[in-house]
Amino acid sequence: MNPKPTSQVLAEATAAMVDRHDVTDLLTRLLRDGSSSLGVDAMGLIVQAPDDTLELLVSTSHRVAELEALQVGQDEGPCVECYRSASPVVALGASVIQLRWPVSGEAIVRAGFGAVHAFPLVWHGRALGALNIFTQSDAALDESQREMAQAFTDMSTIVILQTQSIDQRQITESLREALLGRVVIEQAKGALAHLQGVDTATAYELLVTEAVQRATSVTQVAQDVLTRAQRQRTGS
Amino acid sequence: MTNDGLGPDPRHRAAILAALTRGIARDVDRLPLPARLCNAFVDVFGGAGAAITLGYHQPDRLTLCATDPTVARLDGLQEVLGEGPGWDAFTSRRVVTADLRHPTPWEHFSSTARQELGELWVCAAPMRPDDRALGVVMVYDESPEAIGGDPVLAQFLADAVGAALLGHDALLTDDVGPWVVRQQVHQAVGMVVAQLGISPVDAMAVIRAHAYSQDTDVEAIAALVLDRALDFSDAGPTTKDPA
Repeated sequence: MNPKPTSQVLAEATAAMVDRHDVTDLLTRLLRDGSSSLGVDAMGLIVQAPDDTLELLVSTSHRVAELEALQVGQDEGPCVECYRSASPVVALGASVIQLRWPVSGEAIVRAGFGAVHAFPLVWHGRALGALNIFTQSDAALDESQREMAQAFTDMSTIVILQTQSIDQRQITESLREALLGRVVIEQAKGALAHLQGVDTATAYELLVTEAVQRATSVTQVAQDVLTRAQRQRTGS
Repeated sequence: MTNDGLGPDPRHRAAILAALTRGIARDVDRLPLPARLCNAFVDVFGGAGAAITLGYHQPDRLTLCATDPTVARLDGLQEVLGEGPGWDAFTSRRVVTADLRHPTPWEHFSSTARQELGELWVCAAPMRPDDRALGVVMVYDESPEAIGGDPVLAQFLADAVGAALLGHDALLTDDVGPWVVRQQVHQAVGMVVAQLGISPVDAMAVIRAHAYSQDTDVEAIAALVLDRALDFSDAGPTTKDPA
């Protein structure tokens, strides 16, 4: 079995922003810039492949590429744990790292690293992968470094998502629907406020009450109110 | 000028994204994401100020951030007039620039903006995280010479900003600042619907026309309607003396 590597899938995928670009090249350069912005020694990025396994996508050095591949192969390590839990992972000091991940931790320490941080690539609550940050020092990243690391993680997420145009379109669509639904409710509050001579807060309560009574959504009631308001002219 | 060709080369793309990322990471605890995106856009692209407007068409238009009163006015003016580089950028899905020192295709917008704000240079780039336009990033400066004004860079940045916004759940929470202001416009539209028995689209047109005739923006007219100081249901619009 030899599934197409994710990097190739991503590079082939078409999307507005990066269809004409080499995604892995872009991400590699982005991680290099990120490493120097943060003042850390190395970064590696693993992502969920289409068949739900984890795969190394890019790294800033060959040494880190091996460490990431080992984590994926062993199904153990900071990046794997971060992806599974969808929350950040921190391990400081050689003994902590070795104790926590017997195989990959040992390799991380042997490669000369004293601390690892991992940040999840999260998109609407779902983890798509994780960004691993390696430092020779065993110190924790400070607040501003963590914020910067999070921003680079988010930007990596965005670049990767650009290659998944269908998901993306659905999200645009649902965002648009949610925004439009909200607009209709506000308009109905205004219409009711005028028709009933109440303030907009009270108008909203009326909408909610009617939705409960009719066992329907507030958006539906709002739509009905607007339709009624257009038929009956009540001014003056 | 429009651009549909290749983006910046890979080396530059990564550097641009890294610069944008550093800009976004700044002031995390002080500013909401849209404001940080506006600032980061100006950091990387240049310009005196920027605004991000979601969904340029009525009724779901929402200006998420404007970095200063000038760009806020440029945005509000285009909404009232229904014309300008932002509109064209949104509908054509291409970068549209306007140099107000010279004649433009938007006579009302240009003359009003020139008179009120000066001979500015305006660049509107559609945010196209997928194959449709999500909204527009608009940036302005004294002249194009001041910032280079590369449309390829503007488009690349706008797409990245749009993609960043799509991941931002807070767009849909009710306490987002810009939405709090904007929901009053929608409520006012509802009141005008009830006053005149017309559709929301027509009601919005009434409010826009009134804003135009009063030389103000739709938010100001909406506030009057909500205060019941302005009622369109009589023969003509009556404004009770606000004093």
